[in-house]
Amino acid sequence: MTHASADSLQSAAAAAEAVNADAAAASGAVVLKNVCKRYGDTVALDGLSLLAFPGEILGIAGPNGSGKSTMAKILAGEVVADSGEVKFGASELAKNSEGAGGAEEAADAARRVAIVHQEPQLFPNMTVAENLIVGRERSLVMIRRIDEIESDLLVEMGLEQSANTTLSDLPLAAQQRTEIARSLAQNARVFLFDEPNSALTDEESEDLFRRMHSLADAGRVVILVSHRLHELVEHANRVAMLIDGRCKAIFSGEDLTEDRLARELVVGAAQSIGPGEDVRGEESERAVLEVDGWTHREGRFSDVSMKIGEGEILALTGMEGSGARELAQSLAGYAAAEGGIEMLESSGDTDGGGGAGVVRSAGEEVADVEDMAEEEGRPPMWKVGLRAIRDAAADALAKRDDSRARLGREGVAFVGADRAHNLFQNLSVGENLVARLTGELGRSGILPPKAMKERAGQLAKDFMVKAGSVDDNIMALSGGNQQKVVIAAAMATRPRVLILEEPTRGVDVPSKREIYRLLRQFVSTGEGALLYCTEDSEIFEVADRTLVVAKGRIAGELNIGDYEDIEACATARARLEAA
Amino acid sequence: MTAEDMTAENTFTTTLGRVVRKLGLLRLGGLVGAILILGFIFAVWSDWLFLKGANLLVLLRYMSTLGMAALGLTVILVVGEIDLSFANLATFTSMFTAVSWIIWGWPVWLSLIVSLAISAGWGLFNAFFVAIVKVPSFIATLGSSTLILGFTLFVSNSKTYSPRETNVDSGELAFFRGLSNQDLPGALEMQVIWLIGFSVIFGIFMSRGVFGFRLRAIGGNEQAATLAKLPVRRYKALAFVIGALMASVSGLLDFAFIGSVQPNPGQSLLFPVFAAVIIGGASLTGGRGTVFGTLMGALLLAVISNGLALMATGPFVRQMFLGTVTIGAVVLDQLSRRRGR
Ligand SMILES: Nc1ncnc2c1ncn2[C@@H]1O[C@H](COP(=O)(O)OP(=O)(O)OP(=O)(O)O)[C@@H](O)[C@H]1O
Ligand SMILES: [Mg+2]
Repeated sequence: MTHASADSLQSAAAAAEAVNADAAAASGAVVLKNVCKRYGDTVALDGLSLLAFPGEILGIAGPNGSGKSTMAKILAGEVVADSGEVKFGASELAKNSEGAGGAEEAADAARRVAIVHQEPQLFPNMTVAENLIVGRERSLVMIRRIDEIESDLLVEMGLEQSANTTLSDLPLAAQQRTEIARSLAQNARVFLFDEPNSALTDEESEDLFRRMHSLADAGRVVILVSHRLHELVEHANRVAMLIDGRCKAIFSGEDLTEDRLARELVVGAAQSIGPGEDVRGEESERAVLEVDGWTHREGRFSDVSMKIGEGEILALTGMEGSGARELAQSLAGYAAAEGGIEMLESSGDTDGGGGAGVVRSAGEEVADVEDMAEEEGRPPMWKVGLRAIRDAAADALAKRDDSRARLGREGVAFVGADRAHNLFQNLSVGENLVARLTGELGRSGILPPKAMKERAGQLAKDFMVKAGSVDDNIMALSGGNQQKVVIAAAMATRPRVLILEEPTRGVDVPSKREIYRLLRQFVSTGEGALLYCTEDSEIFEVADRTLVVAKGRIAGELNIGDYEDIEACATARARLEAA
Repeated sequence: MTAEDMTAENTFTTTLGRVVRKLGLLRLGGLVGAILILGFIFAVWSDWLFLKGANLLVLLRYMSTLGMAALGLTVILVVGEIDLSFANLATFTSMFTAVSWIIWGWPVWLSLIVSLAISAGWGLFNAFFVAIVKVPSFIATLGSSTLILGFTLFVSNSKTYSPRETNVDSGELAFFRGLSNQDLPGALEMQVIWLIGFSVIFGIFMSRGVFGFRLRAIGGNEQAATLAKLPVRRYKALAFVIGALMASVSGLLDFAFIGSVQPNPGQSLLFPVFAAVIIGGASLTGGRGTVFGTLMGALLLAVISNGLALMATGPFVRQMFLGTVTIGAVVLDQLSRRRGR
């Protein structure tokens, strides 16, 4: 087999690289040598050796839980390795870093190694300029203004307009740029990007990649962790494949193709998954949910008419600010409010949306929101809209004499994009998996531990969650595995309509396919799914139909079956967005 | 929960669940150990007076008073809120019972039922501000605590009441005393039985029940709980009502035992009950806390209070000791969790 021999060549290359570590370190490279890290029984890094050179972008790929984030955290001094060497330039950052020196050196490392997080770890309550200054105030009495170097940095990062804006008011991309600027101001030499763009739009990602290239061109070490193979191929000079806490292969030059990476990943995951056969549903006449004249309370979207068909996976897409996200949330009965997602019903002045209009289910009009408002003595419109949606879903279940109706489910399950809002950090993996099923599992008021564990175990298996045990705390899982838990928990309720934002954010390639397959299986019994996605590949692979939202209106519809490949589909989407 | 709280919570929980659980057991083991060691020290120091039956009964009764209120507070802390009004509320309930029974001449059962209803209503009142108006519970209950103290003083006219010294119906008096007497074999107090009963119920529902699970989920991440369609507001309201009722029942049983009620002893319950719950492992940021831990916390406090009182060390020693133990327990808790990383 030709590619097996290519593999061994690459591992040989990886080994050879480790030998030259000392020479490399002298030239300013980042050197990891035999780094090990265990968490309890879990081996996160198992003798990882890796080099990253100044001036290059080193890509890191690997399945969920293979140790990528752990490696990044060790480099940045956030976590201390159990054994092994981490060298940076001439100085040794941490060697068997148990002793007192270890912590100090790690702190030093933290200053020179910057992680650009997926969710920036800055001071959200302060302005951009203040964020640059914090920690280097120079005087304890007066808060100084930003100096020239810092203001140049702001200009370089395209932040000069927002210098005095409170960070939390800025879009995520600008917050990340602030994080980069802050690190540059601290003279960071190594930049780690751990899945930085999974929550960015394509345009914002492109901008971020441009900045990575200019960092590398300026002689800094840039390391990029990503599950999006095409991005690695496009932007990285070399890509290291991390599997089970080790560097299994390094791809560069000719070898660096999406195909090769994907093959290595799938082999590494010990799972042979063929190219997903296309089982897209026929377009259904009947809708599980349909809205007419659906309007956001604050005008983020207005007069939207759309339906989710039975057995259909419908995608909503649109740039940040187009209203697509708010539309998806409003259909789930939630809408964006300050600081996250709040339930519309919650109280007095909600920032949220919802709407006015007509809600239909299975072809019959269930509620005219105006009428309902009239009957009920005009409560706020959005509240009625919300209830109408729930009633519609519940009605549909009751009509089919579905046991779920008797369980009092509302029929809509929703998962937002922000993982921190979906997880119970104080609960175990298993408890998170069944958190939405307590009504069903504990009908008597008592939750039988065995049934809970069985259910959780089954879900973990179905969704390929890599966990030591379902009793582990959820925060012990890697990012992608946490995401799988979140999706599994929502799908386990078997709602009538499943509404997911960015369902496979941070999930590795094989698991992504598995989630798509499970989604398809879910709708195959006549349910409907609505996904808010920004990734063209996701839209192409999973959706039946896509609605493109622009400026609060549905700009057009793509029938995914009509497109040959992702590019064609992406072009069509972009055209609709621009129009 | 603010963003900072979240990250703080994160750094504490990014350990293997199993390790945490093991340490949790270790921690409870440590608590039991501390109780035994302190008990031994007091026993030796007091020439074994500490272990005399009569003294142990006093100790158990204090533990019961603390424990009942602490069970309720545990529920509130687990759901991620705080209640500063329970102690004053407990005094009010007793006072209202006394005044309506003795002065206004209500039958005692009516007084009790109305008192408890007011108490539950007070829990809802707290919950209204916390869950609907969204005032932080610290502020809301700080205010309501002062408010209810005002009501207590108003209703009582700042006087002490003891039903025995009035002409209430003797049958009613016997019934009331019977709620919390010492007529069990070995002169064991009824209060201990009440505590055991409530502990079993709470234990089952907190550790095995849907109730406890949802409380922990809501306390762990309210936003996620909302998304998971858990009845967040209902559970918060329920928690405040349970907290209020448990504190009131604790106060009433104390009243029945002692036979008199003063307008303002409630505040003396505030700190020890909080200390018991915190020492028992509940977290002020929500999502954590167990019935067994709380009971052990109450026992530890009872041992300390009783032991020091026995030694006649003076009130200042007792206060200093209580403060030290509470801080110590929290510090140990943090250390034990950091070690797991
Ligand atoms: N704080 C922790 N406590 C216990 N186990 C942990 C902890 N952090 C990570 N792990 C474990 O270490 C392994 C590696 O995790 P890591 O986060 O590095 O994976 P990753 O490669 O970044 O995955 P992903 O692609 O999903 O982000 C996983 O099995 C994870 O469960
Ligand atoms: Mg990761």
